[in-house]
Amino acid sequence: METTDSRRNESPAPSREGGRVAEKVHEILSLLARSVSSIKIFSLNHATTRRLVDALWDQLSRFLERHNKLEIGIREYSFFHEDRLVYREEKALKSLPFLLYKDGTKKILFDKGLRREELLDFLLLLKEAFEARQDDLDLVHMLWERDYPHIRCFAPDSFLEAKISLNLETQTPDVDISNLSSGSVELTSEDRSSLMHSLDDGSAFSAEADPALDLESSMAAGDGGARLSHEEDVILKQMLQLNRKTCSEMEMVFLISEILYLETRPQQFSEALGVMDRIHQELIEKGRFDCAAQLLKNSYAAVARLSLEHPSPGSLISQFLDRARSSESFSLVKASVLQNRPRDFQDFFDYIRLLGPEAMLILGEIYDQLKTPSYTAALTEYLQSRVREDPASLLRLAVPSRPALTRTIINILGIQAGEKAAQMLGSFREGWHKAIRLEAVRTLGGAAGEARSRVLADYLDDEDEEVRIAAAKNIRAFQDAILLNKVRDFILEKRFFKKSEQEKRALIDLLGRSRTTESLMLLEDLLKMKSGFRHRAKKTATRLAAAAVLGQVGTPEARNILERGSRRGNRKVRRACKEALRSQYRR
Amino acid sequence: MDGSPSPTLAAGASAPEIQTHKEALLFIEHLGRALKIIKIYEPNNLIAERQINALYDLTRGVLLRQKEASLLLRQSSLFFNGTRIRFTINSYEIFKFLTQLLKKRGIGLLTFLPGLSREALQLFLLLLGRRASEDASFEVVASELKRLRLDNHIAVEPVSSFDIGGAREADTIRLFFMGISHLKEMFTKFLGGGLPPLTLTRRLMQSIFDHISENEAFLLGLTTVKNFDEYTLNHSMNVCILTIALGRRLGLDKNELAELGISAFFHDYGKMELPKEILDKPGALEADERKIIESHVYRGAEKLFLLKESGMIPVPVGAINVAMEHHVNIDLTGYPTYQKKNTISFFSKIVKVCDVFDALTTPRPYRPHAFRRDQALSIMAADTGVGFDPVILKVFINMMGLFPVGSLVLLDTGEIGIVVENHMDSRLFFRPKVRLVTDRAGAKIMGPVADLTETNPETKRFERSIVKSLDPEEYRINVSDYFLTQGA
Repeated sequence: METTDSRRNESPAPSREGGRVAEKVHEILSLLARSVSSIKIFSLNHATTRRLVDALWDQLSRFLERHNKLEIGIREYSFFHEDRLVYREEKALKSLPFLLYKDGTKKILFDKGLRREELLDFLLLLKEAFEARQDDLDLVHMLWERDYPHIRCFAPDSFLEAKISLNLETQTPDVDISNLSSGSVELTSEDRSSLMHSLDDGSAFSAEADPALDLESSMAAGDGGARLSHEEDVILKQMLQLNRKTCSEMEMVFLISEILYLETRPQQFSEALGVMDRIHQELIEKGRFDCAAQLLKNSYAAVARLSLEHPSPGSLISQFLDRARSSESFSLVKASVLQNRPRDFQDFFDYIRLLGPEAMLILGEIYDQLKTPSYTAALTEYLQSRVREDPASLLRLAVPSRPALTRTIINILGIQAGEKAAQMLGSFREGWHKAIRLEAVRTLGGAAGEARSRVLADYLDDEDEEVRIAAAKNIRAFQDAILLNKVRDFILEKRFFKKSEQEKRALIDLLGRSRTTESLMLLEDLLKMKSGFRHRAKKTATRLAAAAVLGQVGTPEARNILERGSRRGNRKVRRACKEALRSQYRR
Repeated sequence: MDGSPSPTLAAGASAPEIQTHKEALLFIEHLGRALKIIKIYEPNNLIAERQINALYDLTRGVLLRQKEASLLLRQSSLFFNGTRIRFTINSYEIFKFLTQLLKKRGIGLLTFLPGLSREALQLFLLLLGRRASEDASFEVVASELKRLRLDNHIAVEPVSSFDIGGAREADTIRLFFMGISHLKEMFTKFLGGGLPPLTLTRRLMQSIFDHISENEAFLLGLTTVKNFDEYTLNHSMNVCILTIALGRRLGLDKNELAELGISAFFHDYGKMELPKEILDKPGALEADERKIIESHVYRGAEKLFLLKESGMIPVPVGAINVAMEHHVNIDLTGYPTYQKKNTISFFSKIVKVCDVFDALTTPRPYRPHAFRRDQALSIMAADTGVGFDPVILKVFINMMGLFPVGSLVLLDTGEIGIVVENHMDSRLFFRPKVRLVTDRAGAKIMGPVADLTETNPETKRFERSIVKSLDPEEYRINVSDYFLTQGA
C-alpha cells in the first residue's frame, strides 16, 4: 500500500487544491483496490464487499460529477493523477496498478455518466484478471471486448512491439522514395488508345458530367446501392445467429472425425486419434453426451469404411471404441452424470445405447445415487426400448436392493410378448422379496400364453402361500400336458390336503379354467375321492369345491360328471353336484 | 471510428433493450440523413422539411420518455442514451458519416434536452451540416450554439483525448509488419513444439480492428504488399486484415472479430511443413504433388487441434474449422471432401472470400502475373453461389468497391493514380479518391490525393474520371510502395 513517504518522494509539491484532489483520488483508488480484494475473498454480494462498493460508487460518482472525468496514469506499481502519485502497491500479486501495467495499459479513464452496473462489471473483470494465470488473460483485450461506455483504457501498440520484438529495419521492405518521383511512365498503345477514345466520346466512367448537386442529393437520399436487399439482410442475420448458436464441441467432433478420414500418415493418425480420445473424455466430463454420441456414431461409420480401405486406421478406431466401452470410461460416465446432474437424459441414453449392453450396469449404479424422477423416467423409457432387442439385459439392473426399479423392469418385461420375456419373469422366484415375486406373478398373469402359464406354474412351488395362490389364480386357460401333470401332482400329493382352503380352491379353479378332458377327469377323480378317516373334512371340502368348479365349467362333459356325482356317494357331495347343475340351468 | 457492430443485439437482450436499440438506430439514421440533406437543400425545401420534421418528432418522443437524447462518441463506438449502437450492414454508411462528422468537429457528446424546438433543431443542423462550417472546430460550434441561444436545449462536449484517432499511417505500417513477424514467430514456435500464448495474437487482432476503425482504406491499401518474407506469412496477414474488415461489416462483435482474425491468421498453418519446392513449383503440379498441397488443410487443422488439446493454447474451434475448410466451396465441392460433415462454418465462408482475393492478386511462381484487384473481384463474382456465399461476397465487393483500394487507374486527364479510398455509397464507386502517381505527361510524381467526385464549379463537370484500370506489373509500378512511403 502507498506510504506517505513514497508520495512525498515522488510527487511534486502539491498546491492546496491539487493536494485535495489527489487525496480524493487516492481515496477512490484505495476503495477500488479494496473492493476488488473483497470480491476476490468473499463475493460481490457479501456485506463487506457491498459496503466497500457503495463507498466507492459514492466517492467516484461524486468526483465525476464535479470533475467530469478521472484519468489515471499507470506505472509499474503506481497510479498517477495529473502527475501526482496517488496510489502505490508493490506486491505484484495484489497490485492493481501492476495488473493493468503488465498488459501495457498506460492510462485508464472514468467518464461522467458512469453507471453503477458498469462499475460492478469492471470490478468483476478485475477480479477475473487477478485470478487468471498471467498468460491466459489480457486485461486490455478484455476491456476492449467489453467496450464500456464510461471506462476506457489506453494501451498503445508499443506494448505489442516490445513483445513481438519487431526490428523494423530488417523486417520491413526497402522503399526507394526517389524512385517514386523520378522517371516516367509510357502508356501502352492499347491504354493510350483507350484514353483517346474516352476523350473523344466522353466514355470515361460517368465523365458525362453528372451535375454535382444531383449526385449529392442522391447521396442524401441515403439509399446507397451497397445496401443488402431485405432477403439478403435476413440471410445474413440468420448466418450470424446460427454461428452464435453453433456448438463448438459438436464442431470439434465432426472436425476430428474428418481428419481421421483424411490422415494417412501413421504417426499423425495416432496423434489425431489421441486427440479424439481426449475430446471424448472431455465431452463426457462436461456431460456433453450429445456430442460424445455423435463421436461414437462417426467412429462406427469410420470403422465400417476404413477397415476396408485402410485396415490399420480402422482397427485403431475400433480400439478407441473399445476404450469407450471400458470400465474406466464407464466410471467416468457415471461420475459425470452424478456431478453434472443433467435435466434431460435423452442425450445420455442415446450415448449409452451406442455403448451396448455392457454399459447397463452403470445405469443401475447411477440410479442408486441419483433417484430423481427425471432420471427414473428416462431410464424407464430406455429400458422399454431396450427390452425388444435384449430383454435379458434388463435383469442386470434388477437387484433386491432396487425394489422400485425391479418392479419397473418386471412391468416392462410383462408388456413384452414372447417366451423370452416370460422366462425372464421366472427368474424372480429365487432370492427375491415376496412383494417382487407377487409382482412378477401378477405381471405374468396380465396376458395369456402357454409360456407365461408354464412360468407361473413354477411359482406354484413358491415358499409363500400368497404367491402360490396368486400363481394359481393367474394361470389362464392352458392346454399344456406337462403343466396339467404338474397340477395333478400337486393335487394328488398328500400334502395337498394340508394346504389352506384358498390355495386348494385356487388349484381346483385352475383345473376348471383348463377345460380339457384331462383336467375334467381329474376333477371327477376329486369328486369321487373317498373321504376316509384322515383329513375327512378337508377331503369333503375338496370334493365340494370340485363340484362347484365343474358347475362353473358348464360344458356337457362337466354336466355329465356332475350328474353322475349327483347320483352317488356322499350326501353333501350329491347335493353340491345338484346345486352346481341347478346353477348352470339358472345361468 | 466506428464500433463493434452487430445487426442483432447480443443473445439474451431484453425487450426494452431491443426497443432502445431500435430507437437508437432510427435516431442516428434520421440525424445523419437530416445532416446530409441540409448540406444541399435549403431548410424550406420539401425534402429537407420532411426530414427535419421526422428527426424532430423522434427526438421529442425520446425527450418525453427519457429526458434527454444524447449521442456519445467513444473511441470506436457510438452510444445513444448510454446504449451502444450496433450498426447493421445497411446503416453502416450513416454510422460512418456521423462518427466522422462528430470527430471532425471535435464533438464527443451531443445532447438534446427537453424544450428543444423545431427551429432550434433546424438551426443546429445548419450549423453542423453546412459545407461552410466543415472546418469549424469544437470551440466554434460551441460558441455558435451560445450565440444562437441554442445551448439551453442542445449541449455539446468536446471529444476526449482518448477518442481522437491516434493511429497514424506509420503506426499502421508498423502494425502490419509486426503481424507478419508475430505470425512467423508463432509458426516457428509451434513447429518447434513450443506453446506460445495466444493473448498476444488476440491483442494484435484488437489493434488491427482499431486501425481498421480508424483508417480502413489505408490498411486495405497495405494488403498490396505481397510476398514479403515468405508468401504464406504475408498472405496470412493480408487475409487477416481483409477478414476483420469484412467481418466488421457483416456485423460480428469484437469477441467474434478477434476469433475470426485469429482464424484467418492461422488458416494456412498447414502449409508451413510442406516442401517449398512443391509450394513454389513454377509449372503444373503432378497428381501426387497436388495431393500434398491439398493436404495442408487437414494438416493445419490437425496441428491446431493438437495445440488446442494440449490445454495450453486456447485455439478457437473457428480457427480449426477455417484451416480445414478454406478451400471448400459452399456447395461442398473443393477440398477436402467431407465424409460426415455437411456444412461449412460462417467463419470459413468469410475467410475463403478474402483468401481467394489475396491469392488472385498475388504473383506466384506458378502464376507470375497476378490479377488486377478489380479483375479478381470479377472472377470471384462469376463464382458466387458456388464457390462463395453470395451475401458475404456482395458485402466484400461493396467493401472493396469497383476499383479496390490499391488499384492502379488511368484517368481521363492522362494522369495515373492509385485508389486510396472508396466512397461508402456504391453509386460513387466509379469516383474513388486516388493518389496521383504520374502527371498528365506521364512523369512520375508523388502527387496529391484527388477526390474524383470533385467538380469544376464553372463547368459542373467532374475534374477527373477513371478511364480504365491498369496492370501495375505492366507499368512496373509497385503499388505498395506508395502506401509504405506514407509512413515515412
